[in-house]
Amino acid sequence: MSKDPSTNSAKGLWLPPLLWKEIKQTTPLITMILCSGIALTLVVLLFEAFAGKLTASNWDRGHWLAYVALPMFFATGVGVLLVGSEKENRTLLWLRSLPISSRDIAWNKIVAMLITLVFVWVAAFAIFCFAGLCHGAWPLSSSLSASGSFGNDPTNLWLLPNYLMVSLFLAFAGFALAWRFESPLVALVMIVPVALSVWLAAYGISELLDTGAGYLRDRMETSTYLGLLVLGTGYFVIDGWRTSQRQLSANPHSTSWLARLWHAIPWGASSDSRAIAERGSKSLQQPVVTPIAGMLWQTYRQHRWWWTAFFVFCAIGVAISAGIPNDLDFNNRGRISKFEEQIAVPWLYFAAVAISWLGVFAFQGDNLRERARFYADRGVSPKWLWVTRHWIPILLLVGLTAIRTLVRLNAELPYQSFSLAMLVMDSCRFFAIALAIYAVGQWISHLLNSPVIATIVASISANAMLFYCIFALIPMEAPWWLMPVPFVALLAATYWLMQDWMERKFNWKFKAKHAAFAFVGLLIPIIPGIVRMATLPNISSSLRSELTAISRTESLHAIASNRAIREWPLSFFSPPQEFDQATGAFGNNEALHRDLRAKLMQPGWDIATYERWIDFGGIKLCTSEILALRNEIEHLEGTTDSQKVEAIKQYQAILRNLPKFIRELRGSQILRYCDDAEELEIALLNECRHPKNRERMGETLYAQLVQLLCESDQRDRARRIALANAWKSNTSEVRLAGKKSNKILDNFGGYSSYVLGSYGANENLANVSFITSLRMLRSRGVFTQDVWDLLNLDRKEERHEMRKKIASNLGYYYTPSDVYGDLIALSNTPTIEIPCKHWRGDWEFIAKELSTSLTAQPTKAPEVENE
Amino acid sequence: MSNPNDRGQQSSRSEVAAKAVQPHATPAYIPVWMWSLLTVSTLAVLATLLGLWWFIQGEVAASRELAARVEESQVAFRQLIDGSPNILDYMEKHTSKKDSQAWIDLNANLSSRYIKSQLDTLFVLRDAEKTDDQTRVAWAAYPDLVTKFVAKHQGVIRKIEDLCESDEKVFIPVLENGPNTLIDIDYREATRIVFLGLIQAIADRDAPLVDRRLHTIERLQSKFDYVGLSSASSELINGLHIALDAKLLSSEQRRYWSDRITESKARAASNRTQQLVDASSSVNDFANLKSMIPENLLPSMKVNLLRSIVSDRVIRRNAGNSAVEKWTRYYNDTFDCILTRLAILNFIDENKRLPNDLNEVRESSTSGLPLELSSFDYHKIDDAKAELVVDPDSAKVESVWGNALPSTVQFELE
Repeated sequence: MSKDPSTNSAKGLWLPPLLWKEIKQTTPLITMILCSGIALTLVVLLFEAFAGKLTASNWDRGHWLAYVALPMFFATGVGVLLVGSEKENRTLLWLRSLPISSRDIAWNKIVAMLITLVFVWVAAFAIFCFAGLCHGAWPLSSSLSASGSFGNDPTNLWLLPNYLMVSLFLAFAGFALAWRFESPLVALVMIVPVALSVWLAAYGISELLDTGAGYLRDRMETSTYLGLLVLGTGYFVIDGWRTSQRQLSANPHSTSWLARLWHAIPWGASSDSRAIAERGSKSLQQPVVTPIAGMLWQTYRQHRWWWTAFFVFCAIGVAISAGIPNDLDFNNRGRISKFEEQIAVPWLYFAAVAISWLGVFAFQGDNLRERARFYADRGVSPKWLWVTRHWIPILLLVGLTAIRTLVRLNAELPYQSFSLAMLVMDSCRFFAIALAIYAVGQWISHLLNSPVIATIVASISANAMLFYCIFALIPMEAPWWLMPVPFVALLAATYWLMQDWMERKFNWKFKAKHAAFAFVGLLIPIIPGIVRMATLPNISSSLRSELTAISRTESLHAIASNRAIREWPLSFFSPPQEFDQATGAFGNNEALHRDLRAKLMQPGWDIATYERWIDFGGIKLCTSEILALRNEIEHLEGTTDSQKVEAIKQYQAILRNLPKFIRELRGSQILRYCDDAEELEIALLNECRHPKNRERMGETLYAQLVQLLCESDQRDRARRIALANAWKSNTSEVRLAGKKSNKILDNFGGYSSYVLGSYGANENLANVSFITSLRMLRSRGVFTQDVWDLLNLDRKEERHEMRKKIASNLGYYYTPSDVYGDLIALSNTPTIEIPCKHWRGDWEFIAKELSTSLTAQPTKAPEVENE
Repeated sequence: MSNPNDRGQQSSRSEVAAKAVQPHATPAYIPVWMWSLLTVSTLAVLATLLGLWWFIQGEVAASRELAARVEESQVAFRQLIDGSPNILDYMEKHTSKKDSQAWIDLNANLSSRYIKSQLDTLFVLRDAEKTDDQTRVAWAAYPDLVTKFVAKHQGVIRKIEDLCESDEKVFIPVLENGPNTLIDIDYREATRIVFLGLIQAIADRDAPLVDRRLHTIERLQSKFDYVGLSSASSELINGLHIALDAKLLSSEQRRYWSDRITESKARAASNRTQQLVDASSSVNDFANLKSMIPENLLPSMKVNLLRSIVSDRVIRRNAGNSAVEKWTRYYNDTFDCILTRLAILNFIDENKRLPNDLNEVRESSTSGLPLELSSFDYHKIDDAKAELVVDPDSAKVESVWGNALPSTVQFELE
C-alpha cells in the first residue's frame, strides 16, 4: 500500500530537496569512479607519450570500449547504494515518516539513479574525448576502415546499444535486489549471478539456435543478449517498484516467494529480538573458548554463506579455466576452445572481482552496525581481530590454488605448461595474484566505511592495480621480486591501523596514514626505475652551452642547407630492367663513367657536384676512381710510356683537385660533408703511403696532400662547428615536433636521426619501457657528448675504447681503430651512413707522422709533370 | 549516550573494558573444530611455504638455464673457431695481414656503383619462357660487351689473380659481433669480374689463363672462408662447364677439378654449415629475447619465451625451407651435374670409348660420381657421340637453369 501525501504544497516543498539528497548520496561513488577513470586515462596517456604514440595516427574511436567500464561500474553500485544506504543507516523509517508518498520516494530514487547514470555516461564520454584530443585527433575519427554495417564495424560502435542496456539492467537489478535483501552487500553480490544468468542464457539460446553459419553467430548472440537485457530490465523495474512500495508501506514485511526463500536461509544473524534472546541464552550455556576461537567462530557464523557462495563460484571459474595454457598465444585461438574463450576467461575475471570482494567482506562484516566498536569496547586485541578476519579467506584462496593445481595436473596442457616445475610455479603465481587482489579489497574495505562504495571501488582498484603492475613491470622495469611490496604494504596498513579502525577514528589522520602506506608501497617497486631514469646519461649543461655558443657565433646557413635539394641524375649507373636493354645500359654506364672521371679531373668536384651525387654513391665514387686509376697505373707498369704517362696525369689531376674540395667540405659546417671530407682524406692517406705513389704524384703534389692531411686543428675546428650545428638543428626540430606531433625527426647534420635514435638503447623496447624511451629521447645528446669527449682524447687506448663504445652503442660494427676508413664493403647489406665514424681513428696520427716524410729525400724516380 | 567519535573517551572505555575482562576470564578451551582449522591451516601454510620454496628453486633453475643456454651457444660457436675466445682472435691466428690493405683497396674499387652496375648488366638473365639455351645470360649473348669490359678492367682482374696466388686467408679488420661477424662477406663482385675474365680467356682460347682464372675463382672462395664453409661457387661450376665445352681442360685438370668438386660437395653436405647456423641462431635467439622483453621479468617467463622462440625456429627449419637446406640442395644439384660430366669424360679418357650407360661410369669412377643418377638421362647416339640431358622434371634443372647453362651436354670421341 502506498502512502498518501498530506498535501500538494507539502509535496512540492519536499520533493526537490529529496531528489537532491538522493543525487548527493551517489556523489562519493561518482567521485571515486570518475577519479579512477581520469587517473587511469592519465597513466595511459603518459605511457603513450613516452612511447611516442600520442599521435593522431594512434587514435581510433574504437577506444571508446575502454571507457564503457566507468558507467558499468557505476551502474552496478548506484541502485544498491540508493536503497542499501537507507537500510544501512536505518533512514527508511525516517523517510516513511515524511509527508511524501511511497511512490514519490521510489520515483525520486529512480530519477536520481537515471540522472546520475546519464551524468557518468556523459563524463566517461568527456574523458574519452579528452584522451582523443590529447592524441591530437578528433575523438570520433577512426583510423580503421569502418564499413558501417551491423556487426562489421571494426570500431564496435554497433555494440553501444548493448552496453547502454547493460548499464540500465545493472542499475535496475541493483535497485530491485537492494529492496529485496536486508544487506546492501548481499544485494551487490547477487548482481553477479543475476547478470551472469542473463549472459549465459543468451549464450545458451544462441548455441541452441546456431545453424552453423559462423557469420550469423555474433549477430545472434548480440541480439539475444539485447533482448534478454530488455526483458530483464523490465522485470527488475517492475519488481523494484513493487518491492519498494511494499517496503515503504506501513507493513513492510514481504510475503513474496523470494522473501520467504530468503528468510529460510540463515544468511546472517536474525534481527528478531526473541531469536537474539534465545541465541544469547544458548551461548551462555556453551563452554568458554579462547578469544581467538571465539572471534573465528563469530566471523565464520557471519560469513559462512558468502564464503560458500564465493568459493563455489570461484572454484567453478578456476576449474573451467585451468586448461588454458600459460604460453597461450592469443592470436592463435585454435589452442583454446570457444567455451574457454567465451565463458571460462570472463568467468575467471569475475572470480578475480569476487576475490576483491572477499577482501571487502573481511572488514565490512564488522562495519555493519558498528560491530567493530563492540569489540573495541570489550578490549579485543586489534591484531588478533585482524588475524581472525583474514584467516579463513586466505585459507579459501589456498583452497582455490589447490583446485587449480589439481585440475591442471589432469588437464591436457602443452608440454611447456605441464612440466611439474612449471605447474608449481603457476600455482604460486596464481596464489600470489589472488592474495594481491584480496589485499586490495581488504584495504579498500578498511578505508571506506560504506559497504557499497567499498565493493565498487575495490573492483575498480583491483583493475587499477593490474595496470599499476603492468606499468611498474614494463615501462618502469621494476624488478619482479619487488612486485609484492605494494600488496604487502596494503596488508600492513590494515594491520597497523586496526586499533584506530576498531575505535572508528575515521578522521583525516587515519586516511593520511592509509594513503602513506599505499603511496610508499606503490613507490618502492618503481624506485629502481626512477633512479635509473634520473641517472641516465645526458649531454652535460656545459657542453650544451658551449655547442649553443659555437652554433651562434658561426653562420647558421648550414642548418638551413642541411636538406640540400638534390638533382636526380637522368640515368645513374642503373642495370637494365629487361634483358634486351643490356647493350644500351652498358653504353650509358660507360658514358656516365667517362663524364664522372672527366669532371673529377678537370674542374674538380665542388659542393654542388657532390650534392648531386650524394645519394648515388657520393664520395665513394671519388675514392673508387682514385683506386681504379692507381690499379690502371700499376697494370701499365710494364707497358709503353705514353699510356702510363697519360694514366699518371689523370691520377695527378684528380688528386690535385681534392685539397680544395676537402677544405670546401670542411667549411660547409655540415656534419655529413665534413665526414665525407675525412673519408677522402683517408683515401689520400692510403695513396700517400702506397709504395711508389710519391714518385707517381710528384713532390709538389705529395707535399700539398701531406700538408692537407696534417691540418688536424682545422679538421677539429670544422668537426666541432659541424657537430654543434647538427645538434642545434636537431634540437630545434625536437621542439618543432612537440608542437606538431606528426613531424618526423630526420636530420642530424645531414644524417638520418633514426641512426642515432637507438644510441645505447634497445629500440624495440621503446614502445613499452619508459627508461628505454627516455634513453632514446636523450640519445642524440648523449652521442654528441660522446663524440665531443672523443675529440679530447689523445691516448691510443682511450681513443680505441671510446670508439669501440660508440660503435657498440650504435649497434654498428665498423673498424674500431682503423687506417682504412669505411672503404671495405663487408656484406651485401647496404652500408648505413653514421656520423663521426672517422673521428680520432689511428689514421689521423699516421697522417701527422707523414709530415716527417716531407723532409726525407724521396727515392730517385722519374718526375712526372703536374700539369 | 557517548559520542563514538570522541577519541579519548573511546580509548579509555576500551582500556577499562580490557582490564575489567582480564581478571574474571574463566579458563578457556580450544574446541575440536578449532584444532581441525589449525591443522588445515598449518598444512596450508606448509604447502604454501613448500610451493614458495619450489617457486624460488624454479626461478633459480630458470635463471641458471638461461645462463647455461647462453654459455652453450657460445661454446658451440667457439668449437667452430677452434676454441678461440672470439672470431678476431681466431682470425689473428689463421690469417695474414700482408695483403689486407690491398684487398680493402680492391673492395673499395669494386664496390663502386659503376662497376656494380656494369656487372649487373652483364649478368642479367632473360625470362625463362623466352629463352633458348645459348643466350640465356647477357655475358653469353653479348661477347663484345664482355671483351670491352674485360679489356678496360684488365688491371683489376690481374690484381685479383696476383692476390690469389697464395692460399693464405686474409685478415679483415672488423668489430667482434659474435657468429654474425663473418657471415655473408661480400666478394661477389671480385668473383664475377674474374669470371668475365675467364669467359674472355675461353673466347681467346688461352688455356693457361683459363686455368689461372679457374684457380683464382676457387681461391676467392677460400680467402675469406674463416670457418671452413667454402664450397665451389656457381661461377666456378659454370666456368668449368664452359671450359669443358671449349675443350680447354686437359685430362689432368679435369681430374683435379673432379677431386676438388668432390671435396666441396662433401663440405657442403657436412653438418658444419648447420652447426654454424645453429650456433648463430642460438646467439640471435638471446638477442631477440632481449629485444622483446625488459630485463626485469621472472626468469621462468624468460625461459618460456625463449623456448617458444627456439621452437618456432625449429618448426620453420623442419618445414624444409631453411636457408641451409636450400643452399645444400642447390650445391648438391649443381655438383652432381658437373661431377657426372667430368666422370664421363674421365671414363672416355681411361677407356677410349663412350660409356654405355651411367652405371658403367659409376662402377669405374674413382671419385665423386653421385649415387643417385635418375635425374640424368644419358643417350649414346652412336659409338662416337653421346649426350647427357638433365631430366626436365628434376629439381636439378632449376639449379642448372639458375646457372644459365644449357641442360644438354654433348660428348664426342676424338
